[in-house]
Amino acid sequence: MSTIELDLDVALRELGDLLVSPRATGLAERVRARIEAEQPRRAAVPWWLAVLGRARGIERGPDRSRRLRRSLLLAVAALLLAVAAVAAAIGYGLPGIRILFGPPPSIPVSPSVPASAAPGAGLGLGTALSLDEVRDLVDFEIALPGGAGIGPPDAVYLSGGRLALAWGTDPALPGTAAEELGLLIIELRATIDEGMIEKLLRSGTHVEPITVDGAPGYWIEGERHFLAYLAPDGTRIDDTRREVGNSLLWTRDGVTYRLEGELTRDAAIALAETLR
Amino acid sequence: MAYEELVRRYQEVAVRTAHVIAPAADADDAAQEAFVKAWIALARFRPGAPFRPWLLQIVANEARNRRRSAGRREGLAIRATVDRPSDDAAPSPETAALVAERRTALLGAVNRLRDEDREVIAARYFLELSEAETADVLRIPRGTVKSRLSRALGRLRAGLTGVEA
Repeated sequence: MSTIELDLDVALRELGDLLVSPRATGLAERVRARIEAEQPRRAAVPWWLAVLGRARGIERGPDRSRRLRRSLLLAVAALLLAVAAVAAAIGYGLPGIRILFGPPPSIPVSPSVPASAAPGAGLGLGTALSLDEVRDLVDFEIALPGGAGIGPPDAVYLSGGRLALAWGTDPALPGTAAEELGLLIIELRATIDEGMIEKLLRSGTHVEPITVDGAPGYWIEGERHFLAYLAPDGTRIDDTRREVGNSLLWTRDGVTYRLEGELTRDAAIALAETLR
Repeated sequence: MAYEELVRRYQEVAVRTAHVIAPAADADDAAQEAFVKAWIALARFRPGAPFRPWLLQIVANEARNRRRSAGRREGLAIRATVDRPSDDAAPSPETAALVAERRTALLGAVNRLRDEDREVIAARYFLELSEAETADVLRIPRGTVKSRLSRALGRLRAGLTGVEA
């Protein structure tokens, strides 16, 4: 390294120490207020999801030990329920996905419909963000339908890495089980490491193995059904606490997609194959 | 809320990161937004992975978005207090003036760099991030950090020559 280079090295470090740097005054309080304000929009996120968040070890604090213990007890109870449901169910296997037939979840479904203009806002899909914002936040390429007449989504939600793309009602869209939704696509990273995804269905729902551009999946039709995932620790996580209608579920490159809409099987597959 | 502890631990470096990436934008606002987004995406954070580069990557993105929308270019600045000689190394007024002049020239040259060059220099020298952290925060491969830094320093030197001569 030449003298000039060394000088530049030193000079830059000195300069760094002398730079004007804005202070982070009250930032933590403002972040807390923002997060608390976000919470009601995530109202449908059930308690055991919060348990999972806490169990990740990043938010643990000594003052929370009692609540944590209670939460863990509740988590164990949920796990036992899940195990019981799994034991009673008949399973289909997909890489990273298992669809299970069984009784509907015992956790009561509470329809929460806060007044909001954004399609899907009351469904507990997560925090409303822009498409550009979620691109920075998820670790997979977001796929959008390229079908004729389908523009960019009207609303985008993110909840713990699970992305929901929502379209409002439109003559060009199929419509969904939720009144204000024309189409809903869920995308999430589902790998073997991150656990198996479970889908609990009421018995009698029609499920058919299909492929989307060669990727394995299932077409689920008939009675409205509940959706549930299984967290890596075996805890069952209700995805939405809402019933959904016809849906197409498939995985490609470690990402799981779910398309919800009142479509025929072939139309759903055709739409799914436009996702890029 | 225990997340608040994380915010407190990393808030200074977050605001500083936002500032060096986008001096014209509101660094505090960018950092705030980044912390909220990091919280939303917390489930994606791999336990055991270093939190700081993951967070700063989100901060850097927020800052870049603001840089684009801010439009105008405002450079980094030196604190007003630096022109006061420190107690133990009080140089002569002439030396102090010379040092200040050189520093101003260097700062000007840094500010004239294109964003990509300034970012890598800021990450390594102003934020004192390691090469690996720089790669994470700027979302570039580690090898690219080396080559980009070397090119950025070359251009910085070239930008200084007129002044240094």
